[in-house]
Amino acid sequence: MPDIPTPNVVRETLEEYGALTREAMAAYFPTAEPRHHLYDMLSDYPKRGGKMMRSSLCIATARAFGAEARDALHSAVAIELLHNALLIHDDIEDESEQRRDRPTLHALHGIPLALNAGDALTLLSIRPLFENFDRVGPRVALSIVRETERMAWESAEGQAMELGWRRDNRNGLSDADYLVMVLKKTCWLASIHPSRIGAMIATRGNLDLDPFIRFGFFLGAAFQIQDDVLNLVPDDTYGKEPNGDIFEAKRTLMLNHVYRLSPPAQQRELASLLDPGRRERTADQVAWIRQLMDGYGSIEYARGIAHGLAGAALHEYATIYRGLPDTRDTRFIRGLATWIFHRM
Amino acid sequence: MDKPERLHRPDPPRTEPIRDFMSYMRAAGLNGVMPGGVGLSGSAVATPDQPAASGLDAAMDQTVAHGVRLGYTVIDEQIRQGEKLAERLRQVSGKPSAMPAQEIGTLIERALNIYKDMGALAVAAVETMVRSPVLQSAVAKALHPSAAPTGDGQAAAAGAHDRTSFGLELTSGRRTQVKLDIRPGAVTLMPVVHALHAANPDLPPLTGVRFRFDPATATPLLHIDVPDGQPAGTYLGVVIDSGTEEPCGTLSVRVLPNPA
Repeated sequence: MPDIPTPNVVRETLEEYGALTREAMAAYFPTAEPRHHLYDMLSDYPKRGGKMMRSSLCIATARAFGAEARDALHSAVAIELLHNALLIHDDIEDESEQRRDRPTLHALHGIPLALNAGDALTLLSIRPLFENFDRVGPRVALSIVRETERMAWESAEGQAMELGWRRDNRNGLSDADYLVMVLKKTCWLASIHPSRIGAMIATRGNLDLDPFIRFGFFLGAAFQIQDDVLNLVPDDTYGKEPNGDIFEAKRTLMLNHVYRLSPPAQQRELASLLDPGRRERTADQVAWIRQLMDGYGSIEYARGIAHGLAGAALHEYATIYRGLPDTRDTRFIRGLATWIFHRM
Repeated sequence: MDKPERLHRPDPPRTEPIRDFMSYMRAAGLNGVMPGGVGLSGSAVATPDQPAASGLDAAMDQTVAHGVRLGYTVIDEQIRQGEKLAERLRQVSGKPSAMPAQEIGTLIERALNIYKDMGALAVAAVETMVRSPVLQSAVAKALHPSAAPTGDGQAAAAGAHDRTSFGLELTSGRRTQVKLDIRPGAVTLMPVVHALHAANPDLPPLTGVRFRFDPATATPLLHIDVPDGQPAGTYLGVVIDSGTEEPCGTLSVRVLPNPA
């Protein structure tokens, strides 16, 4: 009977592969001028920590299929650099105030400089992909470039969906609408892309990568929903402002659930509250919406959906990895499905 | 002549999807309890002789099952749309190019030179190249001018793009495609490969696979023995260099079904 992996293997692997990726990533940060207005800002978010789940998943997948960790390192660095670049832009778009327990980059330096730093970090994320040509050969390296382009488009589309819903004050969204948005905005970069790239590197493109879409989707969606829940019920490790998603009128599963279950008069009131820009929402209004979520059981509902998705991720994991030897890397990948619920 | 009664497989006993998180936890004998006795929702959960906590009651199970069903509906629809789009793109990109092959080769050589000289400026060129299968083929030729076309790879060790050569000894009663992909410079001594596994875990592994030294050619010889009863499928394994004990490539063997 299979045992459920303990989170220790996840923590240890994240630490090891995270440190490997951080060390490799540090070599990419320029030390030239203009340091204060650009280059120092590029390394700000990466230096604040982060879970390094994306890069670790890429390396672990590559190793699970027989590659060396170093084969996947350039790709892992590219993933982390792009992830941090998108965080800078996301924080601006969401008007967020905190990132990893510190003020966001635009809060520290202003929107114009932060935007430019995000652009530069995006450019920087391309550089390791060129170094892949020497490490994994031109055919696989080109395939990784193509995969990266696809992933970036998916992320941009998902972000556009979410921002568009907020700008147009779209309400009454279904759970399927939310999951499609999360598939694009979160899952491609967080889990689908790292898994596919890792497998591609190890098998030289000789493996059908479609199953990784399903596995990555279920894992990434469970991760995102849990992240949304943590925003409402933060633990000690949560680095963003509590209830920030309600302030930002993010169309989370919980908010959509509350809206769907509300009587018409309350729906009108909710729509009215969610319409204005973030600065116009008061703490009392946010607290009222938060109370509604408790009243309708929206947080437990979202948790249930996340648990189901995590179970589906385990199912898809078994489909992909059953033929491979049981190693620390496969245990790590499987363990992520449970770790997301008590990550520390 | 009377038609025999059609046989029906008995209905499965389950009425709910079994691929949800709770089922996995129960299958593991943990009954929804994480190590340390903490429930999935982060709250303390009941032990078997205690009444179930609210997070594990029937309503929660229904929500979990709903999440699984919803997730599969969403991702299957997305994949279906992706397949339709890919099919349309394939039809467009498969049309004969108006550009002669010689010109394509020149264009790619220039693009690669731009890459060597200008670094990141080659992004646009590379992106242009990767969109077209025609251009990709030309890229491969430009990068490996001595590489022979692989064809369909039937009963041949295709993909030997490095300087190491391998012989192939294949025993199979059926059409079999072999693809050996070795990283350039990764083989220092005789490579080793163990059983090859199919993506479908129910299929038995292909065990009759080994490398041996061929004194006639002084090169490694890959021996593959496909038993008659081996199910059709693609079997994949990692090749290890016995000198470094590091992975140096992959071997895939595709066993085609018997002709009807």
